[in-house]
Parts: sequence; structure tokens; C-alpha cells
Amino acid sequence: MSLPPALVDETVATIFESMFFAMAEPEEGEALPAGVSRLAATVKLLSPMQGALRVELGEGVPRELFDTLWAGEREGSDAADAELAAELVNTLAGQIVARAAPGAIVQIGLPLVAESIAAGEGTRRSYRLDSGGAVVIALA
Amino acid sequence: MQTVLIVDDSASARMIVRRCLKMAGVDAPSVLEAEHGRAALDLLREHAVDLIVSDLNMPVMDGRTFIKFLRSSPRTFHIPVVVVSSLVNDGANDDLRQMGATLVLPKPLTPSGLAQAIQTVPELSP
Repeated sequence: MSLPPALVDETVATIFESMFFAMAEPEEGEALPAGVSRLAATVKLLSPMQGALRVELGEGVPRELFDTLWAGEREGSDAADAELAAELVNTLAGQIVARAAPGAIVQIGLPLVAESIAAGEGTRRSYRLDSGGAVVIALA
Repeated sequence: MQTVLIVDDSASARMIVRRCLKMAGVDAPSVLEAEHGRAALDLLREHAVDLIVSDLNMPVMDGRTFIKFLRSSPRTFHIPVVVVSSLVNDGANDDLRQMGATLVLPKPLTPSGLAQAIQTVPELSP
């Protein structure tokens, strides 16, 4: 599945800024090459388009985003990082599809914290946060 | 406004809603939270609620089914429901308003977006 890169970039930028006060700039090349540690969360796209969207967060990024979002109100943990990644992929997938098909009723699955799109499949777009953290969006 | 019920399976999303409500001037003394529509219906049997803020994409009972239950019960049909979901666009907005949603807002929710939206609904204005 492919979507206009500009639409994906704009949605990613808007969501990172609104949720985490973070700038997410598109980056040429692969921000998270094979073998680099990451936390991945995936959601199935059900309607009006079918496929899957995965977000990959480089090492340290989930905790950084968590700490910004919660501002000390809650202690970070692996489970909290996973929960944040799940909410992030849910928000990104829903809004990317909702913006791509503005008149359609959008349906997506429940987020899963796992890499359910095999490496090399689909379209990958890399982003760099202003903190230096790496983010990849994969669409298949 | 005394009691707000926030329905979302994500703790982070519920926290964002709590924070936005406060910054938008909806400072209810009591805030209840539920992880899905079924848990929210259980809470509504025990608590009087003045406003519900609900996600759509949730396990066990999703937001659309939850709103249908709300609007079909004489105990809950009158409670204003603000839908906050990543699945929101023009198509979903019309559909959800017809189902009984009072307001429909896209994720991620922002304090300014919520404040502007609730000013358009007299029953929600602080």
C-alpha cells in the first residue's frame, strides 16, 4: 500500500508536535537499519484501505516521549513504554487514513506491540526528532 | 459540572483528556476512568455522570456500541458525549453525530481544540 509521502509527513509532524511538543523531520535514508534496537507497534488498516502500519521508535525514544507526556506524573516502565507506543501507532494510523480518505468511515484494528510487518516489506519513511531520536513509519 | 467519565483503553490518552479538560476550564471535582465501553456502562450504574469523553477504537466494547447503549437507556440518553478518536474525519463526524455524539474531535486532543469546540455546545460550556 502506498500513500502520498507529504500526507504521511504532515500527519507525523502534527501528531508528534501535539502529543509530545517534538519536531519530527523526514530524513533521507534508513534511520533504524537492521540490527538497531527499537520498540515497534503495529496496527491493521481495515477500511477503507487494507494493510498495516507500524511505528518503530529508536532506543530511548519511548521513554523520552513518555516523560514529556506525563511530566513526572507517572513513573516510566517497559509496560508504560509499550502502552505509549500502542497509543502512538493507533493515533498515527487512524489520522493518516482519515486524512487520506476524508469522506470515509475509517476502521483499524487494535494496536499490537510487535513487528508484525516483516523487514523489507512495504514503504518505510524515516524521521529524526529534534532530540536526535529516530522514528520509522512502515506501511504495507 | 460534577463528574466526568473518560473512556479509553490507553492510560496516556486518558491522561491527555484529563489535562485538556482542566486547561479548557472543565474542572470537574470527580473524574472517572474506564478502559472500554463495557467498563464504562458498569460505572454508569453506580455513578451519576455529567459528561462522557470516549474513544472509538477499544477492546471488549468499542465506542460506537457504547454510544448506542447510552442513547437507548432512559438513565443515560441525556448525557453529553464527546468522541475523541484518531478515526475522525468528515465522514465519521456526520455518522457519529447521527448516532448521538454531542461533539466529535480528532486525536491528539489539544486544550485549545477542546476549548473552542465546547464553546459551540451550550450544555458543555463551563
